[in-house]
Amino acid sequence: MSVRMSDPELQYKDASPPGGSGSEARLMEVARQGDSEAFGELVRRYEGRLLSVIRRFVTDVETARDLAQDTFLKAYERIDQFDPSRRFGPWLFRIGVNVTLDFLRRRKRRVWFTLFSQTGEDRPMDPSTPDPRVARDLEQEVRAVLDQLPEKHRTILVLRDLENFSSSEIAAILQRKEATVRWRVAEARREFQRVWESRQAGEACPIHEEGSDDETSD
Amino acid sequence: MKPAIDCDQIRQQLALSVGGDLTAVEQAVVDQHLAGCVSCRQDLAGLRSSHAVLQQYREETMLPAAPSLWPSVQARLSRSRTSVSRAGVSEPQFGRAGWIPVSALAAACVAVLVLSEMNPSFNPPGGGAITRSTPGSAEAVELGPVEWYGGLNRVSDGGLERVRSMHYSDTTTY
Repeated sequence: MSVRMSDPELQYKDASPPGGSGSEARLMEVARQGDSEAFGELVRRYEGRLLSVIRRFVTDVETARDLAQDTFLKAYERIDQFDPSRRFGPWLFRIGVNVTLDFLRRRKRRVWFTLFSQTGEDRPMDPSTPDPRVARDLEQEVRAVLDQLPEKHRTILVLRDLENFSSSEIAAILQRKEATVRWRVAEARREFQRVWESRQAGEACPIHEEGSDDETSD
Repeated sequence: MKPAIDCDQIRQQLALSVGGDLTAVEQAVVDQHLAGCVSCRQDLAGLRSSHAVLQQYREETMLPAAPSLWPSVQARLSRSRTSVSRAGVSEPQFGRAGWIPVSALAAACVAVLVLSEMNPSFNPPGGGAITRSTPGSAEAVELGPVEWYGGLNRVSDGGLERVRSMHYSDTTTY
């Protein structure tokens, strides 16, 4: 079973950088020996795509750039753990997704703390119901729906439908079997459809329990 | 005509179909089912609609080109290397030179304490008795030997212990 990349532009975007993965392994080896410029070359190759992935989770551009920097720093710190027989990209994106999801979990805890600290009339509106005062545009509406989805579904949708990673690439990033990823893709699309349609119909959608949503392991 | 495959079995395939995630063989099975199943065609239409929304969102939110992150990453790497090298110099100094006087002092205090417990008349070097001047008299009254408790001087006076510096404007003779 293989999943093809349907968008030619993204095929170009996803293609291995000049020199291919063999060149990346060599750059990592040189970087491991202390040559930061070799690591800089890897940063320049992957920063655009990494930033794009993180921005799908985090709205604020500066926060996304900070998280991308954190990702590269973490990758550099763990350079000895990198398996040179594997591709650099999935390893880096796995770190990036973990860094971003950790950030979002911390922020969510802070938001809950703030909510419980506030008086009732000051609380923000329930995000599961559409804001009747403002006609939101498509971007805001989609983001609101994505924010309502469980982390495991949101992560899969971001990687597959917004960033066009193939199922096999997602399997490498999330360290899951490809069959599991396909199942999750189907589930996530169904869930997005359900919440989207409910929202458009003006119904409140129950927020799903996140449960054991820890999508990645690193 | 009754579809050859069950609707429940096709549901997952439909969700994959909208994103082009099926192989040609899988897609052919789905198409065959759809030809004879109205409810699955309606289901597929709903899935296509919401998937199209996601695709539109993706197109509208493509990131413009941004300045490279490398200068910032490089600066942070340099800072962390500098702090690591500084820690590498200071740690042995703290570990070897810094802790020895503290531990030696603690051992000395314990030794003095033990000796004084064993022998009440023991006076450490530099130690002595404390005397108090009685008002109207030139005679000095000896209160007792000074005991050393880890640097805090206490005075034995008939079973009462007083902290020397708190109670008396004594004439202290050592």
